Amino acid sequence: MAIFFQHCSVPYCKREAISFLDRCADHLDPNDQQLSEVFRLLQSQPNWEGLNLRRLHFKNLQLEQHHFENCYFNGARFDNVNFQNCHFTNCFFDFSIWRDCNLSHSRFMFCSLAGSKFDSIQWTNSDLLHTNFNGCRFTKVDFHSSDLYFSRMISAQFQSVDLKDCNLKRVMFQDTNLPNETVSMRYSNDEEAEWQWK
Amino acid sequence: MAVEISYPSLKLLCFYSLENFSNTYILGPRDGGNAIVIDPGVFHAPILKSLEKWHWEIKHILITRQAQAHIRGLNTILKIFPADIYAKSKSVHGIKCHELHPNYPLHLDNLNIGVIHFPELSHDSVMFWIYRMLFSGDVLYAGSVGQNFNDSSLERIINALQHRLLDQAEDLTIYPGEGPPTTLKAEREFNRWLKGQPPARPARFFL
Repeated sequence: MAIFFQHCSVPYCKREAISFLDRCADHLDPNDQQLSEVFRLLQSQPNWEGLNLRRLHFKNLQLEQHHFENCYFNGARFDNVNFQNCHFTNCFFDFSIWRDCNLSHSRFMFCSLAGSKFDSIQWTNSDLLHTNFNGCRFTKVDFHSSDLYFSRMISAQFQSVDLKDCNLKRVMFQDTNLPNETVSMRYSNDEEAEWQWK
Repeated sequence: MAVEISYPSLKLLCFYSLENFSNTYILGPRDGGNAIVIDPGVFHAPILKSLEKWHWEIKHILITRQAQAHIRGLNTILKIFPADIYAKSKSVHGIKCHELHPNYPLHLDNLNIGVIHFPELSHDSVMFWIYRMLFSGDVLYAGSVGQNFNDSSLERIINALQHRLLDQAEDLTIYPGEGPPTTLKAEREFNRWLKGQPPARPARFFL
């Protein structure tokens, strides 16, 4: 996408700097005071647009009821982050790692989370519309009563996932690993999903 | 369904058509002015409201392919805005347009737009490249590629995509004509066609 970010100030580094800072995540110390300040700032205000937060490690943060628009979280890591009631619009989370996060009542629209790994995630009662989950790996994820209309789960892997009472209309499940023993789609309209390549 | 995306000076709106299952994109300056529509498959009240909100006038219409899903809203737009149409054709449904020359860029309102002709899919298929955004139309989707009913051309489509796209920067974001957005890095990893592993397709019967 065509956001212009400042380049990392480290010589020969081609990556873009994290928003509000002058270096990319690879050249930032996780205990950097400025980085802590960025996280504090993110928590303090609810609405954000056009941020570069690629490959950062988000840990133990309270980000509920936040709105993110056109933000980049590619390769980021989320541990024990509360995203309850958040809205994400055209955000990119490709190849990110999520663990023990609360995403219930959240809304993702026109986002991409391709290649991400999710472990022990609460994702109930959410709207996950028109979103790219291709290649994702879901372990112990609860999608109960969520709407996944027209999202894509091509080549995704599921283990101990609850997809009960979900709207699966036009969700693409081609090449997906969905073991019946650990994945439930009870009360969901899985017959309206797309299972075969056309 | 509408989605807003913001840039330092530009704003991109994404609209989804429930009739066509296709995406319509509108790109314009944040402080108002002329806007560009890409694939006007739909033009309805939410779009009008967004145009009013951002003080936009539609000046240019870009068409990736002359499929009904991409141009259904065209006549409605032209009743309101005297916009110029750009397509890989001299006319679209009888409406004169500026014919795009293969791989010759457009310059519209200080915006440089790359035009990638993709005849492997159809004679009128193009993709538009604006900064690090690729509007891929029917050529490339998240996890799949555009196809016609000609199996021999599928190989050409895949070869062309591998040849022209795979060596681009992996943070290239792709906005397809249908379905969610994606990135080139994700497509390299999970798009079976781009990896040269197309799945078997069911036989088709033509009566």
